[in-house]
Amino acid sequence: MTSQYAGELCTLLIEDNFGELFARIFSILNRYDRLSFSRLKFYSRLSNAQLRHGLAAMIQQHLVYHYTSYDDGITYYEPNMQSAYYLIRSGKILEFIEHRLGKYAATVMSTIMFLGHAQVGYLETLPALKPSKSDVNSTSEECEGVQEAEENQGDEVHQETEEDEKTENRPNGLNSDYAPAEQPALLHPTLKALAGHGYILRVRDAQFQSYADNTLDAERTIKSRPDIKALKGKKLEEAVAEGTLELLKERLDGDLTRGLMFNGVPRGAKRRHTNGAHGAPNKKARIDYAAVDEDEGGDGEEENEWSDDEFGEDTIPMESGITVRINYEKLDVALRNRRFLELAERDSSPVTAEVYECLLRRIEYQTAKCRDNTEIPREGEEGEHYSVPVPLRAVVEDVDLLLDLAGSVGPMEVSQPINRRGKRPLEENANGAVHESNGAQSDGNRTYEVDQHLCLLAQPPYSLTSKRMASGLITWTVEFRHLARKLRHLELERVIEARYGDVALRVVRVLHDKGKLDEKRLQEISLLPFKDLRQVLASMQTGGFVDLQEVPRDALRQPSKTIFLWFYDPDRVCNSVLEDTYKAMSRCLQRLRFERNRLKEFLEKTERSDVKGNEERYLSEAELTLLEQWRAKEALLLGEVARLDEMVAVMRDY
Amino acid sequence: MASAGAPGASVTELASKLYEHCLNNYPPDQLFYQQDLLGLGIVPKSDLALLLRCTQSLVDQKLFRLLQGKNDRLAWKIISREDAEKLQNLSPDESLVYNVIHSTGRNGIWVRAIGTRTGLHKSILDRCLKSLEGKNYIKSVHNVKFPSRKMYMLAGLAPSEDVTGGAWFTDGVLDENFINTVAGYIEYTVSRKSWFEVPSADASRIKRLKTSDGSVSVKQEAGQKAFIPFPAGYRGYPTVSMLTGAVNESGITPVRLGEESITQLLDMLCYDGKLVALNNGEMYKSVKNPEAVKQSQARKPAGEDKGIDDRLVTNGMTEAPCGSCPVFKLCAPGGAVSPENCEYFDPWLEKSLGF
Amino acid sequence: MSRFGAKKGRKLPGAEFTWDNDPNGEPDTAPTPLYPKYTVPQARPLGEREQKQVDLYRALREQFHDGPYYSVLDPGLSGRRSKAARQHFDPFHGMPSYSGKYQKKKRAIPKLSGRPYVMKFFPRDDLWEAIQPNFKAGAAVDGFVARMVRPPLKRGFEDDDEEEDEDGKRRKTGDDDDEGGENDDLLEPDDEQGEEEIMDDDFEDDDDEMGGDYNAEQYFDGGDDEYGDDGFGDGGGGGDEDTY
Repeated sequence: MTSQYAGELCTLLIEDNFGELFARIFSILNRYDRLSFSRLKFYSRLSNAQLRHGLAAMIQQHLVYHYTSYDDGITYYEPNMQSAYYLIRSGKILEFIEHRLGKYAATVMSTIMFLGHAQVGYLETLPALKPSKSDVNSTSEECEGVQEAEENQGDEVHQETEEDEKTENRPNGLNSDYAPAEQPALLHPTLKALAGHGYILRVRDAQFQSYADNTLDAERTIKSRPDIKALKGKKLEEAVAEGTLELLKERLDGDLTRGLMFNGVPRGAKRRHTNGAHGAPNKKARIDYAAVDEDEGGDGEEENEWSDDEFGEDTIPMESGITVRINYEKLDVALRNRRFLELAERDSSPVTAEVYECLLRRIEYQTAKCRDNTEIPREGEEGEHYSVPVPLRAVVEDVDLLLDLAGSVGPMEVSQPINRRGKRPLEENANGAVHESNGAQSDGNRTYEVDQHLCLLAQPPYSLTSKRMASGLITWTVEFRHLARKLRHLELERVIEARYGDVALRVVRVLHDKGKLDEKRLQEISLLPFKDLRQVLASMQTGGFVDLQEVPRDALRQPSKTIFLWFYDPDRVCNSVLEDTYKAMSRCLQRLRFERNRLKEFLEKTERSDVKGNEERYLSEAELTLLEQWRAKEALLLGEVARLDEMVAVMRDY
Repeated sequence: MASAGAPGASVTELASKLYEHCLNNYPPDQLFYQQDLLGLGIVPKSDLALLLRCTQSLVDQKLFRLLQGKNDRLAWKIISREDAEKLQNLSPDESLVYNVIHSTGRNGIWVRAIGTRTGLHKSILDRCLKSLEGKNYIKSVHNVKFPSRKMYMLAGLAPSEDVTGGAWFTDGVLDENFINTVAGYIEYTVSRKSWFEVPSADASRIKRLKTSDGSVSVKQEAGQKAFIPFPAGYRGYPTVSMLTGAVNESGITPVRLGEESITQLLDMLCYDGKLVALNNGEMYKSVKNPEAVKQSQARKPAGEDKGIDDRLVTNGMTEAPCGSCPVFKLCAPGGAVSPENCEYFDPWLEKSLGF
Repeated sequence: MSRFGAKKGRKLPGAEFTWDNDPNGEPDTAPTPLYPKYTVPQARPLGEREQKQVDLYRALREQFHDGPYYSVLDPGLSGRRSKAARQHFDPFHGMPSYSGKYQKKKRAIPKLSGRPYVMKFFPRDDLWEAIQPNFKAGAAVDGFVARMVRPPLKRGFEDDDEEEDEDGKRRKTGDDDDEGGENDDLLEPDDEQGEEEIMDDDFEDDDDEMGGDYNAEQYFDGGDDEYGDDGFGDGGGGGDEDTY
């Protein structure tokens, strides 16, 4: 992330969101990397007030790291590129949260984003988080869970209100007379859902320092420990390295999921197939071995849903002293899963994709981040990294009972096309009622069928899943690194195909697969006429996508006695495409700024406090059209930037 | 018996007997050592000297070719009468050249290599080659590996795949049309065996799929055939030999294609992302279903640019005006080429938004 | 390419195949236009989900823009560079107009008041004063106490009027404190006020609170004059300034 274009892009994003002052400070820090207040002031030519308030606000937004040196007591500031970059992903994240946990959760999330980080106690006081009717009624995959939690807490509401009052009396100055009594009833379960899913985390002091500073600090601490001091040589090195990592982990750790997960599923997380979504009657076969809530929202289900919480703490609100922020790492995991799912949707039936989604969901709950090391892994140098194994039956539990599993997989033998399909439980009248009569045998069938779909996904070319036997039980996992690489290659291949055509794509794939090849061999495999091959290789070489290596056969290095080998280095290509992507994103944002300036007067008019919200009344027809067109234009440019960000995510973050 | 006759006559007789026997009972490529010929029982008393005289006589008549077998032992091969006749008319130099060319079989030989092996002067060699080519005994061939070398082989032989580059080359040039025809045929054939066609009565069910989140779009349209994948572990996907057979019977190829050639093509199709090899190439599966294959094949020749259809092609980079911008490298804010005065953004916005 | 000539005219292997994109084409010697002709790609229209993402991005961005942190370097009417600003005064657009009162206000300095901060997350020497005006750099400090000791500010989200009233009150008392206290903290009151001014740069407010003698530029001039004196009790940053 330390490239010129990434810096330019982050500065633009900051300007787009927070204005010129932040952008100025950030760009100076980006240029000099690490500055004390006085030097920053010197370079930025800003006043004390601007700088101090600016820096404080930027720290609040996690846009700037600070570190006060032990040696001279001077505080140094550094740009936090990662946080700045994630500004562009805010829309994607909020949309994802809304999709997953409902509109209200998205509002909570965006409020936290707006505040940078915030104490739970402060969030309680915000009128913006007071639930409106529409929030309660919003339907999304899991918001029922939240609402249900709310219902479950009905008894506790009173008690909670008291708690809130206590909170308000805390000496944190939040003596709000605003906090409505019933508000935390929705806020807290939502916060707990967000925390349980890992989408938010606790803010720790160390998170305000750059990773390098934290590492140095931790190293210093470890080295000063008496037991470490006693060590020497290699042992010392190892002990320090290990201790440092441990200490870093401990200091940076903001995990809030502990105690909020049960059997690898966040408490209150709902199956995707709630009856509400399908409009089916709320009677459903109960799977007995479902240790985890097989929830329904029906009356009898309630004990089941929360049975494991009888003396749990789930009715207790989040501690109001906790400071929370967005956990981008975790959200990257979720967004990456989305990409995996898209890959599955491209070539598999929707039913298979849905089964896959259930598996991925389970995996997401137990995956904290995309990968362990922060550097972009080099091709061929990273090991395999399997996700947690998810028992087949857990996936079966999560798959919608109304989903027609059998109908989307063909028979094993073509000769007898009417196998199980004929006696499939769900005939023409797809109705939940049929299921009950089928009973246990149908469960067995379903397990088999779900397994079939997962097996389909395990096939080449993508190998989206992989099967593991763990002590006699079938479990399913995902090989993250393999898939992340696949995504990366696909993005690069798309660029190559668009720029140089499908012929080039074939050539690159051959080179990628076979390594270094001379032209003759390359031709034999790619079956391309020499003329085309040469042209495509030459233009790709100009573009930096393939390269040529000379292997002289004698000391004189005569060209006639030299073998020329073509090769494709995905790491290098990826790097340069990543830079180009940053640059393209910047260009789009710069163009957007330019377009906005073109319409400056007009846009300022539309933003006038009297006009805003009353556009129909104050603007002429032509102006309304212009406004609409502007919005579409801006949306397209921002959408384009978001699409480019997808590529960045694939090449850098996943 | 024969021993009574004149030795000269008996040698000729014996020799022709020997020749007839070898010609009739052994493949033309058979390599004969002394023991082999003695063992035939034609030369009486296993008389080695007599045998050697016979073979020499045959070599003189160009009916036998003298070779050095393993361990420098003498060995012979038979030459057909037809060829022998040709050879008898050749000058010694020509004969020498002919033999060298003959020895390389279907691989052919580079002119310079003939020179070194025969030790003939270049002008003589050229004359010999010209004369041999004129008599239509040898032909010059085009080697794909060494396109610049002048190479010869016997006129009656078909160049080996190493020389031609395989079935996909015609006169050393890759036959693109032929390749595309066969590749298209193979893709469709594989596709038909890779997908299960849902009987039309059942087809309606496929459409009843969850689309609530909008991410899963219904792909099948009314009236279209519905295809579903076979389960994992399905064994009915086509193999190389099945496909080779199908291609050869289809009538799209004038020559019989070997499995190697078909494998080559299958590999290429895999690199194109159209097929997937299962179990290390034991079987092949098509990525698209037959309908989709038909559609994409039908579209290809129609509009080249309109081919921005399905699979890859689009991502943020390919869509952005910057993605393939010819002056992207020069572009900098405030520069001669800059995002502000960029001439591509406006048409780009217009193209997508329509205003 | 001398090495090609050196081989007695013999062609290099493969040299019979051209590297040019178009072997028969004329060499293009025409000057390259700044923007060569190029068929721009067509972007797919935004999907439903993408549209939603963009809208959410815009909504959050708007929230930021309306929020207390959004600051520009040249906030229009109250111009920062006094003399230059006056010289380049635009009599047509620079004059306050009626519609100007609805115009979106832009601030020059992020407004920090109005919400609680967890003090320990911020560097004490440089920034605590900014976050908490009654924090004295010189005073004995227990960093973790400060987290609790919040200024008796008001809570965040209230109706604007009320908020401003409260702000005003608090500010006044704050100012008094500072003035009564020390000279080492000269800047803070300026900061606070200057910032509020921009925010309150309304006609009514001018009349109500400032009277006719308000001159935003002077506030900033004042601020600018402080350049080099960052008011640190311990920092000595002003002295360092010259050495850089």
